[in-house]
Amino acid sequence: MSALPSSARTTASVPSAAPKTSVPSSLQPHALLRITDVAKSFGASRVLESVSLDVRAGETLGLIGPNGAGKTTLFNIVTGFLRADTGTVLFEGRELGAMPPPARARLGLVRTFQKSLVFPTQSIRRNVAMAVRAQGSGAYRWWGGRAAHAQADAAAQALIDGCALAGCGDELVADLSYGEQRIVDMLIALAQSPRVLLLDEPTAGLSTEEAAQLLALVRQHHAQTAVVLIAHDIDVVFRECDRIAVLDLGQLIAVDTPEVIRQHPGVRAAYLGALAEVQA
Amino acid sequence: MSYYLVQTLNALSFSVLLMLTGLGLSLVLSLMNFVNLTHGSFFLLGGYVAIHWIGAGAPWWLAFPAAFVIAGAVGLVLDRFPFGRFYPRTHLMQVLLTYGLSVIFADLMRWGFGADTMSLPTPELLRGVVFVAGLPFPIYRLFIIVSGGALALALWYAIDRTLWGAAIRACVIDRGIVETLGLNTRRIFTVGVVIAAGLGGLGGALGSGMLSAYPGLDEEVLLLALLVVVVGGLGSFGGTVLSALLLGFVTTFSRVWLPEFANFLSLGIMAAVLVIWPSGLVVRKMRPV
Amino acid sequence: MSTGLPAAPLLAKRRLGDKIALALVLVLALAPLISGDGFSLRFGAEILLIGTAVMSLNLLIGGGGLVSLGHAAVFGAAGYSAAVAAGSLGAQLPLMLLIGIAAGMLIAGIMGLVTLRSSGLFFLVLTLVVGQMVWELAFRWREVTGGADGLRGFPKLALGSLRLDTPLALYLVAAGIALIGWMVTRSFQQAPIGQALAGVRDQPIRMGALGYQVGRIRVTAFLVAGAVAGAAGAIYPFVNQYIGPNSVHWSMSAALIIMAVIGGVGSLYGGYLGALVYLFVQTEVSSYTDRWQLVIGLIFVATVILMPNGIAHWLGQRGVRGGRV
Repeated sequence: MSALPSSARTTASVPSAAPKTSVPSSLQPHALLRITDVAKSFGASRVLESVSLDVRAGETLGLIGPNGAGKTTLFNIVTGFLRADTGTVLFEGRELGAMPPPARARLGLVRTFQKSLVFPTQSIRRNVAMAVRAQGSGAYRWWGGRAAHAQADAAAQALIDGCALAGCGDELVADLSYGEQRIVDMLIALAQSPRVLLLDEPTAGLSTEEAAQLLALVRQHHAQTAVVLIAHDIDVVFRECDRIAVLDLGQLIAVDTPEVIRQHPGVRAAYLGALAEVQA
Repeated sequence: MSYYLVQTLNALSFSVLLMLTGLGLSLVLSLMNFVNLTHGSFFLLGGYVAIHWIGAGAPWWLAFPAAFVIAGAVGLVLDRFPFGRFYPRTHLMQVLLTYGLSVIFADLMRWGFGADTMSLPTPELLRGVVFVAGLPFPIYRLFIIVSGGALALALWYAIDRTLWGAAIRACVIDRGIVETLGLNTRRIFTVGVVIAAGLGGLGGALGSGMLSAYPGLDEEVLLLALLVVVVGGLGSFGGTVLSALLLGFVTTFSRVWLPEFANFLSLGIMAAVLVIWPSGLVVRKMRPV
Repeated sequence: MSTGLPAAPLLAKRRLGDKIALALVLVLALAPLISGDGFSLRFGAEILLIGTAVMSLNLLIGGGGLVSLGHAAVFGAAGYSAAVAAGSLGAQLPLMLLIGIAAGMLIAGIMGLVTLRSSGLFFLVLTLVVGQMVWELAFRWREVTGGADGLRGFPKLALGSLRLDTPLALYLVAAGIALIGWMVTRSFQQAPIGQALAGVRDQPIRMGALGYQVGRIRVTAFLVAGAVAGAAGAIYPFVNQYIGPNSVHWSMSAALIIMAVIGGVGSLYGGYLGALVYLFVQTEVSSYTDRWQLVIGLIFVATVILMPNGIAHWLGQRGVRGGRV
């Protein structure tokens, strides 16, 4: 995990020569999530400035930038935890407006947080079942006791058995290691049947092996899901992502395939050291 | 018109009392995240001290510092035991502890001072009325407004402009960092509790000339102090002042308009404020996620 | 507001403690029936009714982390409603229960709605304020509630032509309410909604991100707690043919909370043990000395200092030390 130096302000410029691997806009696949001209200030500090971004079905979009660039703020706005000052967010063609987070989640706009927000006093299976039940109609039933849980528990167990924690459904999450809790955190998000998955630094604090395991888990369930991945480990980003969006000081300075981003002068200026490592 | 002017002055004097009391409660809450439901007991104790002090013939102007000192001393003892052990505990446990203590104190005070309502033998200088736009207004309440206001100003200066105040403000934001600077935060907490208790007692002493002292006053004042602190927003001097003014005016004018159900109305208005601003009037902006 | 619940490793101890507490409650519940003594039957009925109210409060505190300082207002409002209605409509048991449940749900529902966006100390004070608004009504509205004197002289409890005003009958009615209240509360806790409420307690932000309507969960919890407390509250005036504003005051709410803590927060049966201990001490001490208020205060202080996890947890620890795991 490389700590990126904060960049000097660069003008947002698109390279003049047409890069070999970017796709002409007329042939671009449809945008599942369309962010247009989003801006956000907290008091005097402008955290996001005129950010426009498309997320396409089936792709993995990396979102990188130095600390404080506005990545998590963008996630918060897209998922409804914050209101943007200006701009719109369209999900499957539908403007989200002031829709609160639970409603967005039910539409399939799913996110994780920088910290693992799990339920430590419950078993792994109960943790995942909590997410499964939210999808169904029985989430608010106050009768039925144990039987009402059977269906959700079974679905949860199926998810658990497909990963490194197979067979451990009954263990209490409080007794798990940090890396294992991260996996539970991811399972909870995957259990929500996401259409777009916004992952906020899912591999932070994990060893290379644990990070690979986690991302493999995501890829397993990825087929119809678009994924937006915030990560600080450049290797991970370049390996996993179809496209990369670079955010710096609240502005989107580039959105393109990894190869183009590698050559991009603005991005190179921001991450000179890290990219040089990757190329070597 | 002049009637409303007098009522405004009444409201102002009540607001000043609420502000002093609220500041004490707010200080302890912001500084060490400690909910102290014995605060009403300090208020009542201060009232009794002032009444007995002046009643015994001692110099009247010393009654108020005496109330501060005595209440502060009780605060000092409580900080040693059992408050100190409860600073890191949950709010629920603190509420239960301090509530239990307030019940004990209420009974001890009823035992010691009797169950009758005692009024302050107002000193010669502060007796009588002054005429405001033709209507009489007690001089004592003017005294409350002036002295209480001056005290609040002094407190504000101490917290905002002195090094001691800076240490306290720093502790509120991040206790750990202050420790790394070599300051004994535990002692700062003790100072905070003593000052808060003293303020409570002082408020009660000042207030005794307006509200008297009787068993049950501690509980009434506690509810008002909690409202002032919570409606104002945590950790904000300005917020506490604002909500003290709000509550003072709402309470006074509710009595004017709806004498029977005045409390119902004023409680309702404060509740409505909390519904509209769930974290109080002056909120410190923090990242939600 | 965090309630300091036992950490994961202590859950097994707590479950054992729950079983022991249940056994204790059942044994104690049979005692007045065996002795047949009128006073202990009436006192037992009071404990059962208040214990049911504490159990419903535990649903909010233990189940949802929602520490309400206004629950006595829910309980007491149901009592007042039943007593007032009895005056004009007669004190038929089903009608009293219906009115009590409705009143309880109304007050609790209002509290739940009003506190939707509040948490921590703000939640606590807001429930306190709403509860005190109810007290102000009970205390000042003399024509309806009897004001400071409270209500007396309303008809005695009956079912059809059968009179239910004997100590034994009252005790059996209270026991029936306690049983049904327990079934409802237990069903709530084990059903999806109960799990969802626990989720909101532990990770409110995540629950929102999962798609749960957190507000709906909170209000539902209040409504169910209000219904259970309301059923118990409806019969409470008939135990001593009296209800007064003290039953609605926030000091009573504080007493309900300490009873929940004494029994063990989160324990279903703990509420009854807590009510037993508290009310027993209060009655005993007040017959010996005028300073019983002091002792009440000491109960609060002693509980949080010596036994903050309550009896059920303490029993569980004993069981584990005895060798069984």
